[in-house]
Order: sequence, then structure tokens, then C-alpha cells
Amino acid sequence: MRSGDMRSFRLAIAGAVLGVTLFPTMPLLRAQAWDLNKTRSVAESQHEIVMILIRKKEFDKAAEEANKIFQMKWPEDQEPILSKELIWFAGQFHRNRQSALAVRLLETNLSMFKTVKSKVAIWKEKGYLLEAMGQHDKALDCFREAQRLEKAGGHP
Amino acid sequence: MDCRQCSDDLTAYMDGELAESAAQQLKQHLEHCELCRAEYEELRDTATFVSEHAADLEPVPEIWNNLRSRIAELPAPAGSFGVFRFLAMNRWAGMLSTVAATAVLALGLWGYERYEQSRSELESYMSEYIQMRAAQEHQYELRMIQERDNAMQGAPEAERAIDNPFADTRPVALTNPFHAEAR
Amino acid sequence: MTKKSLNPGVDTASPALLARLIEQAKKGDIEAYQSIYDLFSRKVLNFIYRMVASIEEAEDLTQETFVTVYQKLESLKDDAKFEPWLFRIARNYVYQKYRRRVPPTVSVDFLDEEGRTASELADERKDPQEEFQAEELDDVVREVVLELPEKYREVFVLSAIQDLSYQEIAEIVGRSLASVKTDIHRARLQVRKRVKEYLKV
Repeated sequence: MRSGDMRSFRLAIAGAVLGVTLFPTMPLLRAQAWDLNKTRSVAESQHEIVMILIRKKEFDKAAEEANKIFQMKWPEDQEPILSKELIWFAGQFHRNRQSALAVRLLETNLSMFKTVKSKVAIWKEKGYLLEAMGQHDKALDCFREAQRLEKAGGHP
Repeated sequence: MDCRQCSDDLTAYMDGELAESAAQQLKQHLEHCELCRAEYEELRDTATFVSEHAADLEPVPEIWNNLRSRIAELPAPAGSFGVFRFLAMNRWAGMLSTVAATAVLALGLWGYERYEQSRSELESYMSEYIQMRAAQEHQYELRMIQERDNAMQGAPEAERAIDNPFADTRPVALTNPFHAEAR
Repeated sequence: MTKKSLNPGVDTASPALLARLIEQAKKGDIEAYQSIYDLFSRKVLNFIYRMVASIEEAEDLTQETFVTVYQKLESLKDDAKFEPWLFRIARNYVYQKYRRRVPPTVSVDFLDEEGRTASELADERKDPQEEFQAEELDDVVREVVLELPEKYREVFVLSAIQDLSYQEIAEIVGRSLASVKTDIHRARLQVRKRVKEYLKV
């Protein structure tokens, strides 16, 4: 690390220490360790960040930021919103000619989902994107998986 | 670790190929040694430069096509011949094998039909979704065109369509599903 | 300019998937072999190309490599060693065909689309502040790599461009890990030196 990096690194540490000492004064954080409203509000900001990055055509960064939304702790009842969000982002990448990235996004975040309905939706979307990319056989595999999951029913 | 040792190991360090302990030592040396650090930076810059300008060739389809025809001409994998030789030697084995083969064929045809059926079921399952999505994309494009026209004619921001079914009606963050209702 | 394409499912394969494909290909499943080809053809083509400097010859040798690989697939005992084994075969073809070939020299062999050599391109830069075009920089890299003696060139390409591990490279070229490590380092130093000279930095 160069000396400049060291300096900013030390500043960051100082900032963190300061933040930690101020914690007891923040009522929010004296509450439960995890709070759905807080998570939602973080996700809201992340969504805006992702949309801005997409508009700026910084697609790799946008995907990174999008992943963060799905890695947060969510209860199962939020999955419909989340799967729609994931498919929405993938669609945005696809429209911007970043179909490969869109498929990657779906692949990366699929494992976060536990409900059958979400997984089926994501597999179908992945199949749609692969078909659009001319990969018919791989697309079929995705739809086969979606079909299998649907038939297996309530065994997420 | 002295500068000569460090210099010899720099590339391996950069590639992540040095053992844990040696890498640690080198790292510490770099922190104190201006000259070696400069050399390391240069190596890194060169590596970045090379990887940014090492445009790859794309394999043309002819390679696979030619390759495929040549493979097809090759003899079948060894191991298939032994069975036939055995059958030729034994008359009963021969007849039995004919019966067995016919049964297998019939089973195969039936299985193939089932496979065809399930495959066409799969294909229609797939095309149903694809048609739905294609129609959606079409609608989206029409809307984008409409919005662009509105923007050019100076229509107010509120005309912009809501992209997300979960967005609330507040003017802020119209596409954001996480904009909490209870705020 | 991106070096690697974003191609899901083709860029990398899990070892388990590759092993399965290999087993199926051994039984004569050509579709499986095509998937294997899809996974590695680009890497092999570009490795050969950087060694022989001719697109046509690289394409031919890539074809030969994959035909031989298919024929000899049975003899591969450890599926995990597929990649180094594949590159060994490719490398053998390179040297078999080009054993007596003189490594291309700077001013004679390499010409760009308009028939200019890389050093002429560099000379044309009367204004050192003027930016190089991306294609020209590609040419510089290609040229510098070709200038390397074959022993250095192969390990340079495998490590810096194909991203293989030193261990795998040692297996491919049939030398010790220590010797490979030294050669890679020397190759990088030479590349650095030549790149600096070309860019007159």
C-alpha cells in the first residue's frame, strides 16, 4: 500500500471508531439487531443506485450493487417483491444489450430464494434470456427445471 | 529478505504463486523499500497493459465443422466388438439376442414417443412464457417511445409511467419497490 | 476493450461438469465433446496463435489438437488434469510443425493492415502526447510477445494471457516449477522493457 492509501485507511478506522462510540446515542440501533423497515430502506437506496449505474452504463458495478439487495436478510414473505425486483433488473440489463450479465445476475441470486414460486419465476426468466441469446438448448433446460419445480410443488 | 531475493520473486508474488510465508516477507519488504515497490508497480502496470490489449481471436465455426466430420469418420470406441463376436459363436445366443433386440427396439420407440410428447409439452410451456415476455417487451418499448415523445414535447414528469408494481404513488422513487408504505 | 467475453456457461465449467462431459465424450457422445470444445477452443486457439503468429495455421493446429484429443481421450485417467493435458497436445503440435522455424523478427514479419511494422507505427508518433489507438496497442502487445524466444513466449502467454497456474504450466511444458517461475519472471521483464521502448515512455 502506498503512503496515501495508509492515510485514508487510518482515517477510515478513525471514522469507524467514532461511529461506534456514538452508537449508544442512536435510538434505532438500541432496538432489535434486525429490522425489516431498515432493510427495506437500505434496499430502496440500493435500488436507486443500481438504476443510476445502469443509466450511466456502468453495468458491472450495477450488478454488484444489485447483488447486495438480495444478500440482505429477508423474511420469506418478501420473496415475491424480491423475485420481481431481480427479474426487473435482469430485464434492464437485457434491454441494454447486457444479456449475459442478466443471466449471471439471475444465477448468482437464485440461491437466496426459498419459495417454489420465486424459483420457478427466476428459472423461466433465465430461460427466456438464454433463448433470446440464441442458446435454445440451455433455455430448454431452464424451462425443464421450472416445470420440474412446479410439479414437485410445495417442496422448496 | 533483501532486494535481490525480492526482485526475483516479484512476478510470482503478483501472480499469487508465492507460498504464504514468503509472500508475507515480500509484502513487508515492499512496505519499506521504495525501489522494489517502484519495480512492483511497473510490473503491475505492464501486466495490466498486456491483459487490456491482448485481444483474443474468436474460433470460427469452420474449425468445429471440419473437426466434427473427421471425428465422425473415426472407428467406434473399442469394446463394442466383443459382444458381436460372442453372439456369432452361439446360435441360441443369436436368436435370443434378436428377440431381445426387438423388444428393446419396441420399448425404445415407445419411450421415444413419450419423450417426444414430453418434449413438445416442454416446448409449449416454454413458448407460452416467451410469447408473454416478448409481448411485455413490446409494450415496454412502445411506452419508452411514448415517454420520449412526451419529454420532447415538454410534458411534466408526472406523466412518466410507473415501472414497478410495488411502487407507491409518491412522486419520489416511482420505480422503487422498497419505498415503504409505512414511513 | 475487454479481453474475456461475458459468456455464461461457457467461460468456466465446474470440475464436476467437465468430468461428466469427458466421461460422456469417451463413450462417443459428440454433443458432449462439442461442449468441451466450446469451453476450451478459444483458449487453445489463442495460445497457438501467439506462438505461431498466423491465424490460418493457428486454426489448423487447433483443429488437429481437438481431433487428437478426441482420439486419445480414453488414455486420460484423471479428468481433473484435462486442461494441462490439452495444452500439452496443443504445444506439441506447435513445436512439431515449427521446429525449424525461425522466430519472427521485428521489422520483417509483423505488418499491420496498412503494411506498417510496429516500430514504424511507433516512429510515426511525432507527438509523444498523442494517444495510441487501441488497435495499435494490441499490435504492440502482439509484436512484443512474438519477439520473445519461444521458451519465454510460451510460459508468458500461458501465465499472463491464459491465466494458468504455475503448476499447470510446469506440467504443460514439462519443466520444473522453479525453472518455470524464473522463465515467467524473465519473460515479464523483457515484455516490460520492450513495451516501454515501443511507447517511448
